[in-house]
Amino acid sequence: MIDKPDSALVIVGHGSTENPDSATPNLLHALEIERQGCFAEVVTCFWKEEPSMREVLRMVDSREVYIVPNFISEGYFTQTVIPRELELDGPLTYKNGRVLKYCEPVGNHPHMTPLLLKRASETAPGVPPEECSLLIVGHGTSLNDNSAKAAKLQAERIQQSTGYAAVLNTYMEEPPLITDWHKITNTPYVVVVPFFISDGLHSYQDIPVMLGIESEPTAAASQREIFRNNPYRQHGRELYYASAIGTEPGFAGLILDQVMQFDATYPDSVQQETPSA
Amino acid sequence: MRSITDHLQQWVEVEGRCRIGQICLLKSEDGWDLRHEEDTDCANETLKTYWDEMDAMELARWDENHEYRPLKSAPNLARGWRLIPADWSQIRAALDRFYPAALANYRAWRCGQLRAVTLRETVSRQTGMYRITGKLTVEQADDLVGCACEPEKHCLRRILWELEDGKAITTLGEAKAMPPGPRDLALPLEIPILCVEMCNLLVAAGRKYIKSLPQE
Repeated sequence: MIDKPDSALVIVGHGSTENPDSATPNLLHALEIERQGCFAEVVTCFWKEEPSMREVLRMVDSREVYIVPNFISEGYFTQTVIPRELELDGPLTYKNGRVLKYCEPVGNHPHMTPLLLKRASETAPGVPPEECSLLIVGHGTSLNDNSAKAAKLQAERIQQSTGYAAVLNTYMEEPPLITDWHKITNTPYVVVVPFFISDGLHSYQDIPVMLGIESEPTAAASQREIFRNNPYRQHGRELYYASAIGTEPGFAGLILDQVMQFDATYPDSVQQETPSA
Repeated sequence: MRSITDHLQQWVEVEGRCRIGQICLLKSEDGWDLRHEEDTDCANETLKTYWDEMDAMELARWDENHEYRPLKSAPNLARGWRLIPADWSQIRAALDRFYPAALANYRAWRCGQLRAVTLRETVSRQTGMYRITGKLTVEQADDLVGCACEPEKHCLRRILWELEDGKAITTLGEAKAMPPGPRDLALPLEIPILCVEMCNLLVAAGRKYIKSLPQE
């Protein structure tokens, strides 16, 4: 249980200028953490929405600030953009009389695996795992292979511990492609869980087209009256498509866990007087 | 430093600042009533009543056609509502949803603790797909800002930054700048929404601008 009445938590997300649902999980997780009373202040900031990373530190007065990237993996944003925009010196930054503590992204957390399994079983209740393939679908990108590695790691962990007939990592932009889901599986049931932070552009609009359950990208989730209609009968199978893993309420716990992990990794930084700038 | 909430209460109750962006704060029997500036003459019963920051989040997310508002300082806030937060901390929380970081920026500016960042500095630090914005000349940047930041169409923020040191923006009018003089006397009836540096939307617009130029 975190009890930091003199500290602030900043949750960093990507956001979107096109999709109104991209920021929602960040905002909801922040409100949940605020409700739990763990910190003096809890705020969110974004790359593509407001408040920006350039403004957010003015919104908090605490001298100790934990920064958790709500990103699915290490990569370009967590390693380059966020440290640059927040002017971080590394895991610990001493600036203007305060200490900024840069935590690992939530996607790295080992508890991601049970959350993925929970999401899969809730999406396809009653489906026998031994007759089902579980597909984790990530973005995949040529810019940074960490995001692909994160999805692959989750698939491997799940394969080791559950009775699914097959557990595969798939991607939007690199092989194995999610568009080939029906070729790379041979079970009567298939459940697909998007390895994304929100039901935004990719997980709600692009991937359904790639799966064949929509003929073209639809309006955003919050602008539709009807949500998903599982199962979809495609290619002689029953296909179940979940909401993005980042919408799982348990994500708030992962954010808090990354704060605790930071304190465990840097015990000397806990409750120390901050050097003057 | 005094809290943002305490500052807000002083700005409104003592200094009489009753506008921020397109929102007016009206004293009422319910406490403080936030509503669209064009609804100040509307009877309460003609407006839908809301209560807290979650409501503010939704009101700020959509325009009147239920189209998404990615930029909260865009001049397209929907009308037809009144929001009556319970206390000053909730008024602050609601305004943080309508105009994120606006109160924090204004507090820092009033206290002399805000450093505006030139456009040149912002584009020079970009990487990846936005690195190309570093090629913007002063003239091109001035043109870009004049189109992309215009208050009646795009953004209500008042710009504090220059294009480069000593090179001011020439393509925007008085409504986009802070007037000179003592800070506590500037724009006496409003809490201005300040633009401390070029935002990512403008960086993205800068990328499109450069790519649209004839290739050399």
